Amino acid sequence: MRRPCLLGALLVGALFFCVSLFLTVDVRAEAGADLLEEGRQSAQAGELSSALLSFSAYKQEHPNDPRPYLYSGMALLKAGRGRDAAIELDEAAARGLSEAGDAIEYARGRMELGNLREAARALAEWEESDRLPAEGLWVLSDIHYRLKEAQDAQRVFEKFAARQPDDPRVNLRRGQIYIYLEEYEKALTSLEHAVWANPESPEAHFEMARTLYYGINFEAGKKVAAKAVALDPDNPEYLHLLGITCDRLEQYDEAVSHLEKAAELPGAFNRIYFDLGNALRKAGNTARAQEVLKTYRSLHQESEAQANRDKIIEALLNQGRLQIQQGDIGAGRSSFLRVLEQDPDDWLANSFLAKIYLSSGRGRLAQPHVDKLLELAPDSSEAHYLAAMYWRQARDASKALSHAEESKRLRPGDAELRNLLGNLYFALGQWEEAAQEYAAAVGLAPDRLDFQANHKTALKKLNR
Amino acid sequence: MKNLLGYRAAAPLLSGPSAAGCVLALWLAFCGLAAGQSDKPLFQSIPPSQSGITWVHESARSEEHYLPETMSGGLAFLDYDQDGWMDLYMVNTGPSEFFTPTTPLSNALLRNQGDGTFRDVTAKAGVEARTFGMGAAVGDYDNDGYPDLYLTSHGRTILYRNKGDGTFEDVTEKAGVLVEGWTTSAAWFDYDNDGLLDLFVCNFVKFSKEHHISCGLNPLGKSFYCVPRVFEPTSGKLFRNNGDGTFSDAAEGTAIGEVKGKALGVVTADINNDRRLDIFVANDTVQDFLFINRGKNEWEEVGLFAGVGLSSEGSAQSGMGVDAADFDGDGWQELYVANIDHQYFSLFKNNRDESFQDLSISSPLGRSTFLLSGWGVRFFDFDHDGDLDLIQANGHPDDMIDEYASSVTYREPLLLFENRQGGLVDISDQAGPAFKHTYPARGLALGDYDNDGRSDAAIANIGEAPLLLRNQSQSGHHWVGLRLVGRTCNRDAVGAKVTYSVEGKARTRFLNGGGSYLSAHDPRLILGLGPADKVDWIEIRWPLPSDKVERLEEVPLDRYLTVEEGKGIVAPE
Repeated sequence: MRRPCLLGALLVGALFFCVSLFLTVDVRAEAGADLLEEGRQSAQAGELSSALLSFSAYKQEHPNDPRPYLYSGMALLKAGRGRDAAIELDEAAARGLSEAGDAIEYARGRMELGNLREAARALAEWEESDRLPAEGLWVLSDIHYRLKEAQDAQRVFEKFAARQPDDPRVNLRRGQIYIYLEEYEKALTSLEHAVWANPESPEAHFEMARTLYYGINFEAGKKVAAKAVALDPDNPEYLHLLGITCDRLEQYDEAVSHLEKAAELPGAFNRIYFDLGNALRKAGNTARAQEVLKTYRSLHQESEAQANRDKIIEALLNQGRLQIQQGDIGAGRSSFLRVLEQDPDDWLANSFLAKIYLSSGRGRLAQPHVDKLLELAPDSSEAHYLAAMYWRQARDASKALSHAEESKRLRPGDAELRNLLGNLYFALGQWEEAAQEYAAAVGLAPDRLDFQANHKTALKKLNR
Repeated sequence: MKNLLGYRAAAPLLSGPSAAGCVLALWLAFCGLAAGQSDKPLFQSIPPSQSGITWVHESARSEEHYLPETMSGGLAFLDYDQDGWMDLYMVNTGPSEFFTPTTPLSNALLRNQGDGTFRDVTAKAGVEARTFGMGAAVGDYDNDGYPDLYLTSHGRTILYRNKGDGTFEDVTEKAGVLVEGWTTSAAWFDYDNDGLLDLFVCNFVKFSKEHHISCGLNPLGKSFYCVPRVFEPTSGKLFRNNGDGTFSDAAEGTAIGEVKGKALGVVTADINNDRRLDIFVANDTVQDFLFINRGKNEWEEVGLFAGVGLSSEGSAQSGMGVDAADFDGDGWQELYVANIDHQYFSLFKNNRDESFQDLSISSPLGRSTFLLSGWGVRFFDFDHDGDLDLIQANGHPDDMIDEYASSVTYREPLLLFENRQGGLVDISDQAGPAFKHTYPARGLALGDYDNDGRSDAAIANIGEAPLLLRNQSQSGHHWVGLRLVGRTCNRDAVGAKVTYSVEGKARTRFLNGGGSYLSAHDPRLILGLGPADKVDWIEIRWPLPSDKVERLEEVPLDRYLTVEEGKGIVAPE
């Protein structure tokens, strides 16, 4: 009879262990959820540091959960720290966003950062498999709209409209998409509905006036544009449209008057000066026209120069990546150095160069790039990781460890980093810490035999 | 009845037709069709077996996708041996720092044998060039009666002086017109009115193998050609003819030398009728330039102020081909620019105050060209009805565009627009089978190679054989062809203004420099008379320094006439 008793006791014990384990996990998960919620509340209240601390604490416990990275990214975005936000969003994406709601939030973040392509990519799969909620469809349609992909915008939008036919935004957006598609009659029909549903909407009037302008119906367009301006006199876009409509009607003095007002408003954009200059010329005020067009030229040249610089940088980065992939490290380095001629603060070029130099053991050449990365984003795990690598090569274990630990705080789910930490502790003879870090690296990347070997070596040292 | 929006129907350019006008247009169209009812298409593609033109352009396409590979393909009509028949000169790619041909490549001089065939005389004439060629400009810079050739390229330019014995000599360095880098179109014109042709050369971008940028991979995962935005702009070159076979750099210290663009097309035309030739330059991704000639080598760049620098939305376009002509018959020249796809090609109406109005938006021209990338272009009166029509050669620069774009293709059709009551109407579908095919076209030159008074066209296709189009329009209209020979003014009479009257209606033609893309045209002017059987008079105002205005009456029809400054008609041809 002893055996069953023993077995029963073992079973009870096992059951107890399982329950306690389950409870422990549950309690930890709950505590984690609390941290996430706390972080989100802090972010909402504008307490960025506190929010980031909460998210960071959660990351230590759940290194593979994308949410703390996503929420950190959004909090940083809200605080105007775009570059840092982008790094966090990258981390979130790398971990895979498993909830549609998170994917939508991520896409919104990318939109705000101007990465419309990435935003569209984040939602495309959800949309294709019909798992995207209505709000996600709206966001995706909006992304396509901004990308000037009118057909896709329309396709996704109509899915949204089928689900939410009574949404007040439906007619206005449908009209806007038809404008892009140059189907002005259909646009006008939709916008008439939008105006009818909301007669005080300046935006609906504006879009309707825009449609009439493109449809070469300037008389009617002028009336509707004037109504948009009456409803929102401080919108430079509305005044601009009214001005150029007057111009097309050859009412140059009136055009000048509206465009002058538009140019004085906050949010005035470059094209106002172009159209104002031309209207002034047609109104016979040549001297003032030249003056305004000179202003436009300088604004235009500035924005073109920036656009050109952006294109060059984009091209050189692509080229550099390709060259590295093809194993032509020298050419890749040269491409990244050319990027820095255009913009010494370019993150990717500095990062690539730091890695190129560090991987070839030329830490001295890597240093300015590592320093630049730390200067650009003191909260970047990547910058701290590279700084750790640099100081390791410079044989300053203490500084290396300090940067590696900082990187770990920000990005605990990075197997390479944990292995590096293991190496640093190992070099310092701290076998226990080394073994822990190697174990974490193995857990994060079970296929990496080198991490396993390191772990075994550390355990041996520890056991001795 | 108005439609829902109450839209006005999009009007033809320059004038909107009234109801009566529409009826008249239909009637005229009917008459035109009736008159043209013939088995012959308006333009007939002449195959190599018939023309003898077997030369083929080499695109030099590489895995690396060097940008110059997308741009080459200029050509010129010129009567190099002065036998009265228009010969053809074709520009090819060739050895460069980024291209090593597997077989020897050469430009080609094709002598018109007067029987509809051409014979390759390149080697004998010594004009192989063997550079990574772009375009050609033709002008008699030494006033010896024989047209000389200026060639642009990626690498170095070449000035071939025509020795008058069927051969040419390379005088580039001796003449001081060497430009290194990437030159595209060029134009001969007498900017300082001293009776000698000067030279304007378009510079494109700073490009070298060392500074090549690969723009990564396209949606197909393949390398592709970068947009020129990523390359640095450059300034144009202006060379003043010293009259002793040499030239001086005249751009330095002027607006021409100061502003930087990415120039592809140039036409020199007197846009303000002050008898000084101005320069209009089409730039790619940079605003187009209009240099007004204020005299004494003072140039003012007024593109933006004149309304021709940017699109109607204030943005820089990808300007490639250009031309100028008095399209609406008011005695002032309009400007035309062909751009890349998704940008309207622009027809700028001259407001007669150094400003222009872009008429292409919401016009048939805008709609016909919206998805095309235009290069060679030329105003001409293909049917002798007295008004100027337009021919346009197109092709997308990206050879892989078909694989990832839905509405744009690499090979594109030619376009023929007829001027109907001041509006440009796309009649490509009536122009013959050649207009139903597609081409990777670049340069386009017009020339009457068979001397029948109808302007034919030659089109350079990148990486392919050129296209020779014989004009076979059967309008039955009379014409007068003029070959102008200057004495005090430059011998080519570039800058001359010819006004002629038919049935009391005066029309104006200008002899401009340049025009199109990388190409040079038959210098003779063809005046169409429409249904009239006589021309009232022709008045030639010779360019400065000549003060002569020649008036011709009782002019024989349907033939070419050589008119010499101060001597009137000296020879029917």
